[in-house]
Amino acid sequence: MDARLDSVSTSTPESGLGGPFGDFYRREYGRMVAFSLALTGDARVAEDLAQDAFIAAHRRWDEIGSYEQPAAWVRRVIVNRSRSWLRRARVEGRALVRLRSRDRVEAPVSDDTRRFWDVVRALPRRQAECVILRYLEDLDIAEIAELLDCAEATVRVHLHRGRTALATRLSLEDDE
Amino acid sequence: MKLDEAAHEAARELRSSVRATPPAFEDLAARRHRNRVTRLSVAVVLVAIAIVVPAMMIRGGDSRPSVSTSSAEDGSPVAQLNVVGEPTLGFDRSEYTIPRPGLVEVTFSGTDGLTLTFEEFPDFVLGPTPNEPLVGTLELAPGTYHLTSAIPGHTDAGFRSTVTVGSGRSACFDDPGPNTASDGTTFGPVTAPDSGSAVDTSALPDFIPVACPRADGIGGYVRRDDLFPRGFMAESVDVYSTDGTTIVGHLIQGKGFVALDEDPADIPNVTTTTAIATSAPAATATRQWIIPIGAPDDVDPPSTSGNGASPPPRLTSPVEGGPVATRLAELVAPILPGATLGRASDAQLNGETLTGSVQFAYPDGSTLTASVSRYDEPIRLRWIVHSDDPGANSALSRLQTGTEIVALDRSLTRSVIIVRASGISLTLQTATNFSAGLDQPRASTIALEDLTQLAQALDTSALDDVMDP
Repeated sequence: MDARLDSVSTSTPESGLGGPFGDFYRREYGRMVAFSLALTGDARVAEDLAQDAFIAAHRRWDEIGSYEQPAAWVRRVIVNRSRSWLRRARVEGRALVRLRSRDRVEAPVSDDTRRFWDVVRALPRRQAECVILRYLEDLDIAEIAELLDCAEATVRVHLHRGRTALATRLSLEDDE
Repeated sequence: MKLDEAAHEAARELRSSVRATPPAFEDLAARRHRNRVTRLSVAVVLVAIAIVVPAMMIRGGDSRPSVSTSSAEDGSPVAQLNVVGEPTLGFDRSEYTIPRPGLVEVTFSGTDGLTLTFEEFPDFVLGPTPNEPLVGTLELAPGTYHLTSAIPGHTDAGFRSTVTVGSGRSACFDDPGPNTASDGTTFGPVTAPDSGSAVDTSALPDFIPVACPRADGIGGYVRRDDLFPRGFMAESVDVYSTDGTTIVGHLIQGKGFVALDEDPADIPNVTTTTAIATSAPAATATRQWIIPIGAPDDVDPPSTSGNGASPPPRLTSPVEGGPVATRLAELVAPILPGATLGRASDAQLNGETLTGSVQFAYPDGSTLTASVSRYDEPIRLRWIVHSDDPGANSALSRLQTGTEIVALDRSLTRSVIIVRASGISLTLQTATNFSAGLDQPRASTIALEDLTQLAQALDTSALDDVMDP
């Protein structure tokens, strides 16, 4: 799955960090931002979360770089931070409104795509995460379960419920 | 159109919407920081300070990534230092306190035209203040720092304060006990009133200590006015340091105290709930403090739109005799001898039937409400006990003051938190830890055996088919 990311980004003078981390960063950056974007719905927040995750990975690259799939570690960081962000946006919303009064920055996508991901994000958090990991990240059940630290059966349930809800709310045919 | 087809198309378009070329990694920290504050139109400088020899590095002015000495490895601040500049050329506090070292988010607001800087870090300047608060981030080691203004003359005019950063390694610290700040602000635990009497909220301290659920000591203080008279209806309550203005965490349902740099999703739910009564209603009235069911992370986030803010989930459309309530009544009634079944209804959350509750009445006027809900997690139960007779049960009366709490845990699917009170009603809910102001150990003297049996007797798995259509 990670190999697919080669087509997303290439080395450029602007991102000239060398070494394995540099390669990893250039290869995964776009995809991680997209992943973060699906989770949060805010393009600016998505970049923030992804960049935070890469900075964290860089700090621990000696360890992270030895992983079989360092991208999985970054994804997990993004998931955790997106939860924090969502919590802050929801639970501490009044404080954020008071302090920052920020607006969501929309991604440049079609209305249909925007609505699709909005509906996904309206699912219960874990359902949304499972759906995003499945469809955007192309992870299989076992990979999702490992990333979310839950049982595969749980992922199946979340995915099933998420699909059912999506099909209903988007008037789509669920052929599962 | 088929779901898979639509999903893959949406995924493809979302991926293609993201620029493929990443920013130079060396500039990530600065870029990230600029992203965060661009809309505030503020100049932000990030300074990293080594623990032993403070060395300053300004983000954006240095091409290197920031070097963190914080215990917060994920870069989340350990405190939000909120400083207000007064028109009298002073800060709103003569001293600000941060319990532990780490990344600190400094917010400066107040009178227009003022600035904030640190004598120790003159390059860190927030201001002059516009109409919006200014935000900067510093990494602070233990020690005392001096706040002042970058505008000549302001410091001499008395525009100064101190920031004391403690050396604590954890988010929790020893409870300093009841105390009063120089401005008269009071800090301290809630004192239990006499049995059967109401709690006088006006007599409560301004700030109430919050117990640390995973360590000794306290995590900080919650504002009395944030708790009362709302009780614990809020999903999250700010927790302040000893200065009463610096936010160090939140009191979150299901989690208890959660430090600012902790992710609640990573913190397991705690198993005890305590709550305290604020007032005794009229003899014929009951007052419910309904804690929203489930921890924030477990509640379905409604659709986001507009500015991204999500409205809270809403329970609507009570359905009398709904399938969930009916099944719950069938389960509960046999284990509540002497009680008469009252209202049983389901409720909808954002259009989906997810909860049911049944009420039972006792001859002495007390009522017990059992409710069950299911979001995306195992079934959670809560119990609400009402009593219109404050004198009927002295033990219940003691509970009213929060001095005696019965708490049981029977795993996530059967956990039951039991708090009983007289003259008031308290929500009994699983996996919640609101121990603010309760400095006494949780007792288990109130009909514990009966309640234990009740909890054990209720097999929530029997609700699966109606709760999980």
